[in-house]
Amino acid sequence: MHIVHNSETPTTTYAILDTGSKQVTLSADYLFDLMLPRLDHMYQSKKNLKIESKGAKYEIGDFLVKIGSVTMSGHYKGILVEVEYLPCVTPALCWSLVREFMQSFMGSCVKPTLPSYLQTRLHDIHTPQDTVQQYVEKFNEFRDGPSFTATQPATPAT
Amino acid sequence: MALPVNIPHAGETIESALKNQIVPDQEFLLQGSVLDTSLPVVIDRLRGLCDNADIPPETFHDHEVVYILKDFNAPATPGPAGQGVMLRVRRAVDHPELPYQLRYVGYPEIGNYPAVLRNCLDVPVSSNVCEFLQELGAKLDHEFMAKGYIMKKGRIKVTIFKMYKIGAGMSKDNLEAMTMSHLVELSVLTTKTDMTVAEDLRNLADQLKPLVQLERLDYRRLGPP
Repeated sequence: MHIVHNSETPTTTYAILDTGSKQVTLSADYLFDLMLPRLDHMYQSKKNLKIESKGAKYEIGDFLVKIGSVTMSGHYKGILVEVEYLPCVTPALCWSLVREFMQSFMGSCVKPTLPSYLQTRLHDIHTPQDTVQQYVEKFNEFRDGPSFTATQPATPAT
Repeated sequence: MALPVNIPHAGETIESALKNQIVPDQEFLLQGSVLDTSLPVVIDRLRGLCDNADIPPETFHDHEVVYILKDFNAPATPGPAGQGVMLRVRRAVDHPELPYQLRYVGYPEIGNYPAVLRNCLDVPVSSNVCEFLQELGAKLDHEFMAKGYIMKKGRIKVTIFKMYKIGAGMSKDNLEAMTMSHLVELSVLTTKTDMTVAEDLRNLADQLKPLVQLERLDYRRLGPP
């Protein structure tokens, strides 16, 4: 289970349960964090496994760009870039726009193909849950792999 | 240009609240019951005692599903550890737009308190909470409908409701009642540092006598669930 907090939605806790076959994301009030210690006969938190992306947030017209440096238990891991295009809620309608925008300032490290997470959800309405799920996906890559620069081509916001 | 504005994260404020023991996670509870025939009298009395006496009491219609989270493969051991944790999911049938409520209720504290004192935590959650709990390993224990009235007096919450069974072929308006009476509950949420409110609860309960006998129930005498 991953517990995620997003500074855009400061009083919401996202609990993402990954059972291999399927993924369930629960949005809950921040008090959910206080409930977790009460389940300690079944679930215990893994020590020292906290990944954080922290940095500046910029607004350029309709775009929101967050550039965060990712640290895992205090160790620097890399840079994560999140791009949001605010006027649109379905990735299918604005992916090319977002891609072009990202290539304009990040160059060739932006792949022309769609991120795997969005491929199956191209026509769905993008929710804050989708954003945190993409963060978890990227954080897992940071945890497993060596240091590298990854992009987080997110996406329309609601 | 991004301005360096320092906004405290919600987590920091919750952590400091925890440290100072001002998280309202303690609940005082008194329960009693009243026969359906006497219900109007109790409601009239309560309307006079509670706030907003000039408007009719608010009604509610909730569906509650209770899950138990424990290691089902482990041999049964007596005591709280073997019984697992009970998690209650409540949704308002008449207000589908409201978030579901996930509620943790702990075991009653032992001690000489004027009402049942237990640890309690309410968390508003999204509507996929049942699926989430099942994936977590929790098993459905029981479910019921509760329908009744809610009033308040200051910080005290007063509910008068009837419990209904849930089964096949039962619609929202066609429910099978479990008993011929209504349950009356007085409860108040408080913090570890503020126990004075229990007396207010007791006073309100005394004013309902002899219509309703509100007691501090000893759950241990009821036997294991």
